[in-house]
Amino acid sequence: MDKASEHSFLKENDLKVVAAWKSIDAFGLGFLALTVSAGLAFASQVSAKDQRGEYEKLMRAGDDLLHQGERERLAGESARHPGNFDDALPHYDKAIELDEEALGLFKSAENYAPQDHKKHAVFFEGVALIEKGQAIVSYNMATKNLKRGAPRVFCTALYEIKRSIALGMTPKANSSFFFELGLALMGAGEYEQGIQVLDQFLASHQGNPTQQRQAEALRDSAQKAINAAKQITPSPACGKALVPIKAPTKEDKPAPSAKQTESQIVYSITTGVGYDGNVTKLGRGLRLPEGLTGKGAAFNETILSLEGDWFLHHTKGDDDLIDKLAVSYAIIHDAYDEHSDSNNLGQTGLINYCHVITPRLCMGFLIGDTWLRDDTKNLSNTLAPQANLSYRESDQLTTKISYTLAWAKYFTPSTPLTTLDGFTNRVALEQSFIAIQAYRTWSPGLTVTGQYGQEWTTTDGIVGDRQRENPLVKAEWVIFGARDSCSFVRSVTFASSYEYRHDEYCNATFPNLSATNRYKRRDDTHLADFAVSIKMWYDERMKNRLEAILGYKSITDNSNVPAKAFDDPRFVASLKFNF
Amino acid sequence: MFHRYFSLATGLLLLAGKLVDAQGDAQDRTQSFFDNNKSADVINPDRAITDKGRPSPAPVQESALPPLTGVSEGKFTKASAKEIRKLRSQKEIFVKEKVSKKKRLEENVAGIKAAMLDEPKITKQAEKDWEKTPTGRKLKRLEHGTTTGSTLPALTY
Repeated sequence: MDKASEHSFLKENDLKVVAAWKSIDAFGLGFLALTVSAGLAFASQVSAKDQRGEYEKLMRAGDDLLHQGERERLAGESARHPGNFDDALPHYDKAIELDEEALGLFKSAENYAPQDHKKHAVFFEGVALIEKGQAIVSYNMATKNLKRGAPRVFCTALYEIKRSIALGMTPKANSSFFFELGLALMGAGEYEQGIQVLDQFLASHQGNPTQQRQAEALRDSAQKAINAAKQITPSPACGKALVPIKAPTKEDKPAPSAKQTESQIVYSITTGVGYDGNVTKLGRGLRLPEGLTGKGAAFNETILSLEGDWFLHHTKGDDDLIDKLAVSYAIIHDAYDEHSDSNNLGQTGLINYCHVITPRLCMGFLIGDTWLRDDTKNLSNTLAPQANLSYRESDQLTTKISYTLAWAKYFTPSTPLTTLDGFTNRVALEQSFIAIQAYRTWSPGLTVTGQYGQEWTTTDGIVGDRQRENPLVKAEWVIFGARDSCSFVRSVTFASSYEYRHDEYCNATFPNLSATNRYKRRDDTHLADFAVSIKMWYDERMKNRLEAILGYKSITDNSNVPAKAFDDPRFVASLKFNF
Repeated sequence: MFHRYFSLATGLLLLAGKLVDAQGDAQDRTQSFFDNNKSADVINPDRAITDKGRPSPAPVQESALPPLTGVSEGKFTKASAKEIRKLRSQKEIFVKEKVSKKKRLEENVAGIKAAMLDEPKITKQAEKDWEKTPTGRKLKRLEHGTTTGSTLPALTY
């Protein structure tokens, strides 16, 4: 019902009500009750008829708008194909507007529809949404300024078509049923199911030739894309924008990169609670200091991160290479229950420039600084520039070599002999291997990384001079990866790492500097880290809005200094929000 | 004099001995902070196994498939044009034959003169008869599909 007819309908009913009240007199109440009952019974009969008429009228009006919308979209396509992108956009906009109006009419029709006809109204709500989604997709192929909403629209279309099935919709009730279901599945990114449904549509020989040809074209392009997705393709060496800018295209295939500088600013806030089994890293067998009720404590961890990224395109031969400049800042606060002396406030700034020399070779330079304090005083500042070189030996294997020079400054009291201020030189060799990369929902990815690092620390004093051997192995297994954009859970990943640190101190400074039988400190530390990360809530820009992270760490330090040998298990459950 | 220097040196060493722990703690505490927050470890930033401390989300395992693309009518017009031309000529022959057959029948049986016959009506009837044939239905479907290029389902309610 349009607004004008709705208004006149209400007005008419108002007049009837007023007339009814006027007719009440003192002796006619019983008669009035009888009249009202009869009137209502009559009204309901008339109303049922009117409702059916209104339903059919709305369905026809909606269908008419859908056809108008389609004509506008095709007019846009006719303008886009010869490259008249500016002319095409208003047609797509108009098509979207008409499809939305049609959707509104079908929704109204659903309200008026007799129960056994609701399925048609709901089905056409899905059709209107598919048309809108197609118009947005076409719009985005004619401009760099993307219009958002297509994935959500296709997911809603899929939902509506499934709802129509629940109401009794079948291919018999509408010969284009499989075609529309196939389009909704394809639009939502569920290509394999989409292909199956379109195959059913083609096998049924229903629909018009245009539908059949579109079904064939979509099925073939989706099959090719699935085959391509099954190949192992490492992501660009330095990364790529979350929403890369695409050049307008005349073709009916994915738009190519615009090859222009892209930038993005991303923020995240993470907060979690956990339990640390040994907050102060108390040595094994040592007595608990006075005032503490236990070694372990619950804690809260909050992290705020900001990052600005710039992606710079340059070409080498036919290759489009993307450099990345990232500037980030993070503030981290750990607050321990009943161990407030151990609270930490860390601030980290990072500037990272990654330059792609060839598609296989890239070099990077980064400089990071972490300033650490507790609740009352500064503890340390670590400034660390790093240069690195990465080489992709194959699609699966990448090797990286890096050199870091870190300068550490400690703010706690010291003497010339005990000062720890100084430099750490670190060289590291890292290899990453993509063991699994597959186009499937379960276990689509597994990456294993091995790293060996060697460090030399020289300080202004004699206490902190040491050498470190530091092998590390980590694995990231994607247990579940959603392929459509409708699933709330986007991915489930299990990651783990094992790190071994052998610290060999250079000078004999223990048990203390005044002791006669001093010895050198030597630490063997084992660090195991496990995390399950559940990414949720699809978003076109951020890819996922929400992330739940469950982590468990275990540190075992076997130092030859009894006070330094400790065990520390730590569990934390966090929620991260990207925006 | 010697005692004074000895006492001073001993005092300094004792103080230094106490400060070793404090200093060691600062170094160990910084290391501990890096172990608990690996993304903040600027000496080895590749240790982290989650992107908790990084706003930039790690690549999500998502479909690398292209977006749904529309198919415009132009492609179909070209592909179907030949078949439509063929069916239209068949229609022409069918209608002509039907009309002339009807004319002969009317003239012979009813004795109506050719000039008196309602030819447009006969032609219209012949066209209707054509549409009832399988080839007639095929032509109609093709014409509908190519002239509108519509992928919309027929309205049902």
